[in-house]
Amino acid sequence: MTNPAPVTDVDLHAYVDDQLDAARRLEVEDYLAGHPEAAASVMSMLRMRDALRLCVQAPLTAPGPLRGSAQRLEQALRRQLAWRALTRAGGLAAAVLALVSAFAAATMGLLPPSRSANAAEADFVDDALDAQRALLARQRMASQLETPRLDIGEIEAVAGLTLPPLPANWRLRDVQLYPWDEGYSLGLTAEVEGVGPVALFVAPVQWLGKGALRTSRQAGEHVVYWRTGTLGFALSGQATSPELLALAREVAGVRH
Amino acid sequence: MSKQNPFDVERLLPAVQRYARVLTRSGVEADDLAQEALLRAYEKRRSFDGSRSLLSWLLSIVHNLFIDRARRRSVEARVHDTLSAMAALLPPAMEADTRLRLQALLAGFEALPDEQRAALHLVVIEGLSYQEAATTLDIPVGTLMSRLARARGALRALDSADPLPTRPVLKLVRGEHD
Repeated sequence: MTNPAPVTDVDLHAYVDDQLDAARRLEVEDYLAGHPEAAASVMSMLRMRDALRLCVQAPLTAPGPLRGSAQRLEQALRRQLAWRALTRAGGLAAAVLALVSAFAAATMGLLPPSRSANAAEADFVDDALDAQRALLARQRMASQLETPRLDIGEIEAVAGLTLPPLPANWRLRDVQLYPWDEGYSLGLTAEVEGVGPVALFVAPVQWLGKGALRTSRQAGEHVVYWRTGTLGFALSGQATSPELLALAREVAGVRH
Repeated sequence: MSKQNPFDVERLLPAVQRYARVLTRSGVEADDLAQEALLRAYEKRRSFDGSRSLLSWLLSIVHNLFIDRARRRSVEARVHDTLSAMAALLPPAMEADTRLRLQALLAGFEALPDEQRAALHLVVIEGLSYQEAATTLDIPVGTLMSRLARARGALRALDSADPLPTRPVLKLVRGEHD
């Protein structure tokens, strides 16, 4: 039998903090049996630990705003994972992700009504830009095959997203479905004659604003967004704000 | 596949609040710090890449914000709650003697230098591994362990079986100074 490594103060701390594997724990315990002073020191550290942990037993209630921020962060992280998985690993990751997301959606339910409409809208715009980034990354990657076809009937049947027909001068580059809170969202990129590349993002939303087109500008990107029925639409691209607004009116079917 | 939602920030809120409380030593300031940390985390969410635990990532944001704030104001100017912010969390049903001793220990804990208090908290109360705690604090594991040892050395005196009401550290609980 080989002699175990000598037990040091570091081991005693690690023993108390539960950082040792079972074999090393046994060695430390054997050592403690023959060294009362070390045993007393360990006992004292354990008591200190237990006393500090007593504080943890008290339930800490989080104030409402803190919970709201937590939920907002959680949603953003989950969606971010969605974009990353889809741009990185393709099919399998997407399938796994759909499961994770479906599970999360099933266990988490709807967003709390306490979130302000403005925050929900800002998050939607963030998500649209995330989707756009993911779509652009796919275009740069040789290993990612783009699917420049949009079957509006199939998307409605499978994903429950009702899309308007796109204007005839849009040349599709890529169409992607993403798992979303209660179903799916859709992102697509297209070349628009005379305007350049644009991205359209469509997802079920909770905010209530209807009809009116809104604009937002983030990190140099113009986004025009609106709501039709239960769906939010966000159109983004390098184009000027008036150009995007004009395109958005066409897609939204707004006659001005 | 884990059945647990990997982004359950709400489940981690108590840990975020506790750490904020231990750092600020104030219930009111702690909630403010926790809230700002979550907003910061939202802004910085793209830096979270899943290579570390969500808890470690969140606590490191709390920590960095706390340091930013502490730099902006002097330690002297910091306003503490009159009562120990941690002692307020002790379970209500407890023998008076035990409570006194625990309060003394907590007061000693709160009186530790920030870096030692943070190290002890992450390992002992939140149960992070040495590596996770070191990552959270952005320090080498060796530094973490020496901070742990110093923190424990400072607290050991308070863990004797003597009754403690006469120990000077109790004065901190009442906000007095020598």
